[in-house]
Amino acid sequence: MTVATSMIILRYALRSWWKCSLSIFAAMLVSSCAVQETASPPPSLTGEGGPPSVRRLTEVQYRQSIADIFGAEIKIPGPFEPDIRRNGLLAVGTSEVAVTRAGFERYDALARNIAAQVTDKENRARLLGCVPENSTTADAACTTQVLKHYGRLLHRRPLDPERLAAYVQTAAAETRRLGDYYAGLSFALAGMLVAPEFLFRIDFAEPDPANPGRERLDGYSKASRLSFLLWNTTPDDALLAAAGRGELDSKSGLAAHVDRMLTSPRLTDGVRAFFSDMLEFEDIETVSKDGTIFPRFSRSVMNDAEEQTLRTITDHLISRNGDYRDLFTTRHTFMTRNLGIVYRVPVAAEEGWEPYEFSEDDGRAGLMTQISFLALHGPPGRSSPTLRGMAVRELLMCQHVPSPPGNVDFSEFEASSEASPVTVRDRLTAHRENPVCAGCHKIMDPIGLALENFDGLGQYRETENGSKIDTSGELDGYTYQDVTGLGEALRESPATVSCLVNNAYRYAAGRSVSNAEKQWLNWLEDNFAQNGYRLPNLLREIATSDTFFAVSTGGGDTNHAALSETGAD
Amino acid sequence: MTTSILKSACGSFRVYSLCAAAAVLMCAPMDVRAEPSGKTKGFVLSHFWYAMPFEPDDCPEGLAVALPGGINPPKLYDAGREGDVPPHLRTRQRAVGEIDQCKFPQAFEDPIMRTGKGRVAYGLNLDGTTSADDVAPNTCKHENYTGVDGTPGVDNQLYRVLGCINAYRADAKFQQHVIRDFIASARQDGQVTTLMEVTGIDDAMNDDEVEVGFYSSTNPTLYDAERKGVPYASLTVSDNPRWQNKVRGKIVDGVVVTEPGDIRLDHYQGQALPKHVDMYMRGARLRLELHEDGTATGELAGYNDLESVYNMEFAQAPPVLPKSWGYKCPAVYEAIHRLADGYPDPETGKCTAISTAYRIEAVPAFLIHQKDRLSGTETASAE
Repeated sequence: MTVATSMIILRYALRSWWKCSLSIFAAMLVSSCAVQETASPPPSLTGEGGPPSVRRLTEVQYRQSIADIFGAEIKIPGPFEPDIRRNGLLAVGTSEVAVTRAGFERYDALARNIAAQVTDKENRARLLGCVPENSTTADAACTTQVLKHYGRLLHRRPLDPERLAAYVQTAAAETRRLGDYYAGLSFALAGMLVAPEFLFRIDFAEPDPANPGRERLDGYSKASRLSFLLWNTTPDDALLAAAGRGELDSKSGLAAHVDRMLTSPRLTDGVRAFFSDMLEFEDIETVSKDGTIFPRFSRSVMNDAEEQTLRTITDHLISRNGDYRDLFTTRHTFMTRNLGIVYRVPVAAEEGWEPYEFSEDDGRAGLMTQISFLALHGPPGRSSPTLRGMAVRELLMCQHVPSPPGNVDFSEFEASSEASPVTVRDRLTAHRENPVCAGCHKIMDPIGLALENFDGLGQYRETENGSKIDTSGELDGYTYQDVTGLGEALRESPATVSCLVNNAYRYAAGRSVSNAEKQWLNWLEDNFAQNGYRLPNLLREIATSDTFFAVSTGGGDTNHAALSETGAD
Repeated sequence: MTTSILKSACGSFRVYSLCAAAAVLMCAPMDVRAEPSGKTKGFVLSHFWYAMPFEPDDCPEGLAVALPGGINPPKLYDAGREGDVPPHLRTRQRAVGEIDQCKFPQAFEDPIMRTGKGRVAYGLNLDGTTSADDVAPNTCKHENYTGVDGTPGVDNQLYRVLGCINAYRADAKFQQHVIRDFIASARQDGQVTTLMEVTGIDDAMNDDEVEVGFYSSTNPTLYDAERKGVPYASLTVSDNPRWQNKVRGKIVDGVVVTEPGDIRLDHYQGQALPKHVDMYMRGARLRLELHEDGTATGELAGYNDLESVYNMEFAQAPPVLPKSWGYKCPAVYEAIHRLADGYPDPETGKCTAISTAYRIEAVPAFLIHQKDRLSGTETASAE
């Protein structure tokens, strides 16, 4: 090796190490700063925040909205346009996506289908609330009644008279053309379902009487933000009514409705949606494993695995009002017979779910030892400590890991060579000793190696190729011997708490955090700690804060640079 | 004693099912000992069928024939045996010209069936004798086989019948192994599930006292895409006491062997023979090898009750099947009674059961007993 070659390798090594270390250091700095802050009342950030946003409904939000408005009997066939992940969250991506031509055609077909179901013979008596005098001619009174009611629910605010009149007129024209009252009404309803006011959550700002010259979100926009944050669906009638009466503009009125929503069983839907987003569960749909290596893998196992993790989370955070950090160490979960085969545990219930607690001997504790995490972050035929380590860093600690440099020679680490190492740890040691790779692998691999007692599907094992698996490692100065220790390290890491608070606020706001909001987030994190890391409390603080509803005015978006390092665009 | 009482009370196999519940109460050796301490290993049977070596000299006279004398059924027997057919059926079936041979085999003359005269078979030496001239107590005179592993005095009289039927043999030119495939499909389709549980294990290699349970389950046995049994499934033990059997045993060099015991399990032959019937084996003994990967293989040998085995294999066959599969029901009925070698009726001296051997392949499973009692396999990796 020449001196020049050595210098090139050294340069790459330093560069990659620097990139990784810098990003991790930055995230740790944010975390440590946050916990050193003294708790104090939330700073006034009136007039800061982001601009009014326009966010496309996710598939789940669309489906749940239709179910809430028209009933679960209404079928919603077919796929949707995929959501886009930005800065680590689909929720942020919803502010940046539009509707493609193909996507609009899909929405149009769905709208016609849904409207036809609402007005068909089976459902019209239950859903329409009035009967036209003649089923072949227009009936303005009945049509107005129906469209006024559903227009308010679908568009999440009352229709203005001109808009309502236009819809009624459309229904009448189509009734005359088709000679069928319900077909005409269906046409107008379909129009409401493809309107931007339904497909997008559109913020409307109004002058803020308490701060002349500034703006605030209007009551209906607040209602939508609250409902989609806490219930992941459209506002209910009570919330829209409260918005109409201006109750959401007062601290006490807002707090009362937030408390109502936090104590509703529907909070579970909101929390599930948040963690599905944070844990990138949309990818579970496309996970595949080699059936010859993992014959126990199936689509139904993965569906149950996703549900298991979401049940674990909502049970711990809502039903038990538990400490968020305990999700990294908890042995409580839920089990189906389908999952029991992979976990190799007995399940008494022949159908459905039953609570389950792993014993200390099972070697499982924390979300990262569940199949949803272990199987999701790995290739089809084996486990990957690197991908698992990266997932922990990025998803649970909000630390960005750069992509590998383009000139990596992967053949050096392949297991198929004659002198192939016995275990994954042996192969990854080669990574960490190569200066080009070491910078990033040193922050990922020790985490992932602690999870090596679980194969690519998440089944427990103690050996690999006949050698006992070494699960010891170190996370940011915290050394451990096994995955239980890793869980403790994650539990004690300031980064995991900071990550949750950061994600929760970005999920709520649908955008990256602005620099001006940094102080607010630090306070929020402190408050979260002082209240025992309880998620409902964190959601309450966000949902009742001025910051959540603040609207930046004019001058573009200069304060809107992303603070988080998570998820490069 | 209980057997003879039941036999006389229950009469022929046609009304056997009516007496089945009583038989369980009186005949089944439900062991009521306290649950033994120690570890438990649960299994679900991924394969459970007759163990048959298919030697070339099994049937020197040839395989059984389905259609002696053409397609006509055998003649109805004389008036004495015809009386076994219930009058209402006799009238109705006569009206359409034929009595079902397989449901009422006694109503016909007994055509002679070609049966096995080979030398080698799977099974165990159930009666402890090695010579046909040496008739052990509670048995009937019969020829012995030599075991596939060389063991002398192996008893497997049912192989002399099944081993000479076309559809049971793997090497037949037509319909080979079709019965086994039906059975395998029924198990893979979840129609019948059989569980085993070894309890009280203190030493998995050598243990003087363990208990082995045999159970049926209404949960399906799970198979992967390669038709291999899926290990570590949770399966609920049927709450039907008919299908709950326990016998004493021990472990010798990693092999579970049991004392003789009676076993009654749910049996389903497949869609061609669509009714669930009981498998009732008397004096059954298990020899089960426990493997490091958690699986187990072995043999279950004992005396199949004649009525039970005829019900399982032949009684439900619609007219077309015997013709296609290579047997005649009256001939088979006569053969199993002629070759029966166990549990003689005290009054007639005729044996009521026939020695049999099953091949078992099992994967580890969690057996869920009623009232949420859990028992499970060891958690050692099976991979």
